[in-house]
Amino acid sequence: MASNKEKIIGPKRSFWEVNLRDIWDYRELLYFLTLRQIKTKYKQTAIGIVWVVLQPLLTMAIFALIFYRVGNFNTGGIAVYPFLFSTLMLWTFFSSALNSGSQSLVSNANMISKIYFPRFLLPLSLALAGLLDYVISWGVFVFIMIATGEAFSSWMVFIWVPLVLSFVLVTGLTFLFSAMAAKYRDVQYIVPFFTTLLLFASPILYPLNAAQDPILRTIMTLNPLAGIMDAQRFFVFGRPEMDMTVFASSIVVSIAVFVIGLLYFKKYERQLADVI
Amino acid sequence: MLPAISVRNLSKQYFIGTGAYTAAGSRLTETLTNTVRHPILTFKGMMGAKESFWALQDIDFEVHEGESMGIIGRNGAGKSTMLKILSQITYPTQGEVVLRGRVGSLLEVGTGFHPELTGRENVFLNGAILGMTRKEIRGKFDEIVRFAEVEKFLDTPVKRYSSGMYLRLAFAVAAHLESEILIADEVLAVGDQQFQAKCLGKMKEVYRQGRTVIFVSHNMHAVRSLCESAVLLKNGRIAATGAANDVIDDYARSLEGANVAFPVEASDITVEALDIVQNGRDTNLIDGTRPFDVVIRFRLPRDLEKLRMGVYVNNALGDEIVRSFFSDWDRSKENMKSGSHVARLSFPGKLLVNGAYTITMGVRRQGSIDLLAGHRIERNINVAAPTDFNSGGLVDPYQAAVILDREWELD
Repeated sequence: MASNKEKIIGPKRSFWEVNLRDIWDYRELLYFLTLRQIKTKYKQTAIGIVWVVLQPLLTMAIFALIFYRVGNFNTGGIAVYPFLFSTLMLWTFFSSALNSGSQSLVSNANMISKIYFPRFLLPLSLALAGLLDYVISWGVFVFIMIATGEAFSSWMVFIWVPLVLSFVLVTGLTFLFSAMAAKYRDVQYIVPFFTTLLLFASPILYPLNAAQDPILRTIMTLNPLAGIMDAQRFFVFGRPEMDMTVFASSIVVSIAVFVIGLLYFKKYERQLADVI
Repeated sequence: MLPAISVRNLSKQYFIGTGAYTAAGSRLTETLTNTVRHPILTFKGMMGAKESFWALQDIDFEVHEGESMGIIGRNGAGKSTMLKILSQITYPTQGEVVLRGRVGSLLEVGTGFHPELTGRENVFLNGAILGMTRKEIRGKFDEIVRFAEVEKFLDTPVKRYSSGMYLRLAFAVAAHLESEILIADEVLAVGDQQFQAKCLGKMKEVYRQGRTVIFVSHNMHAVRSLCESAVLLKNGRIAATGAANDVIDDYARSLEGANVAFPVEASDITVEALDIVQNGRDTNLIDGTRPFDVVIRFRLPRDLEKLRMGVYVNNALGDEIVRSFFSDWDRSKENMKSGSHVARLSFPGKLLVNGAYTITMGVRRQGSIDLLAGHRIERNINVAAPTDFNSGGLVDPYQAAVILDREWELD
């Protein structure tokens, strides 16, 4: 056993220091926390894993009815169901990781006050566990594509890009919200509202080019999810044409959110046990 | 050779907010509601400097490799804060701790156990939380399971376990943690008596392996039997340090005396007196034959709800013998109106064995908010053996914590 390890516990730590060695030492805990999340999520539910696909499917059905039968949106020639499901499945990953991740510190308060481990493993493990649901819903999506006669474009080789960006964005947001929620429980009421707002402020149920109004354009450029969802749809179908300005901005904003979230988290990480 | 643990000039400060301890900031909602309810108080609070409280001050000690050290002291002396700093759960305001070697810290058994997961899954999860690698856990898995005596239920979710099985499994994982430095709370004796003996045996085995151990407890028997040296904390400072036996004796002596200056004023309560009354007068010397009264006089500036208010009785060894709250048998007594109150408890005679006891007042709101904000209100009393009690010769204070005012019927 390695014994020449010296650990110093003091009052201050440099603001920029992210302890890489800690991450490596605790990689197995990350694995087990992720596994715990996956294993417990659907235990004691009657239809278990079916919920994973049922949530986006039902949302898809509802919005297909409202937006495309009652209202009259233009999907640019793509069949309505795959058009909606392609973005809704990524949205399901994003929103459930956001909601559970923001709660992760508060709901594990006991663990935090009893033992040391890098705290960011909690929100991170939830985002990682959500990836499995995303992969499963891809199975359903392929089925929908075949059933509606849509074809995958050759841009599909980049389909991991929107996922990686969503992952970066959502972990950044959960770092921020989970640390804030530890101090201010109010955050748990704000996050679901924020999530709903984000669903309608992003081109998930409608194409990005439906937002031509200058105010809407500004929202789309600032909202990092807009470019991600636009790219997701483009990489699947090869149309409608991707908006590169919005996409570039979403890369920048996602990374910025991640860095801000991580710094905020690091700043409050050491006070967590005292305030939670 | 450098010591395994060096604690240098360590201090930890907490800020006292609106009735609750906070190391920084406070809850937004609480701040807002308080501002609405008590605009003047809040304004005053904002004008005045924030009240602070040192949980630990200027702590210095070293633990050498292979040494086992106990940290003792009364409730509120700073033991838990010390333990949390050593375990890296919270951080010092000043000073530092240097730990040389792999550290394992056990403040609780079964941290992270999930009721829906099986025994097997929880062993791996809990092991990983304690810092074990998957390989290590796999290597010790059979030993852990045998120790916990749960072989048959390995693939059953732990929510179906009896509480005894649950604790045994939780302890078994903790007991097989191989670290060079072990920081442990007194939670480690768990389960039924038979298993407790097994736990203590396992702990002694750990100590014999030459590991460095810090053991925090207010159980003096355990400290005496497990530790070579000890540190006594009092009001956040080191009051004594040295061989475990000497420090424990110091501690027992320090329990005498110590008086509180009344009235004790906190933001949500003013305590005017804690009287111990026997034969119509306030006294520290109690005749164990007869009942005595515990009388608390206090004033509340506003109506309070969900109060857990009452007293604890601890013996000289620090064991909590009695807890008695207003609301123990009547939930409606959790709510109290503003104004002056007198609370009286008639404490039965022929219950406490002879010896020194501390009666401590506790006021918590909603389970966790200490209304006294760190003030300690307590009385030390000395109970004389009931005159008609037949102790059977040598009076051994360690023999029992309580006696019964009951007689055997013999035919």
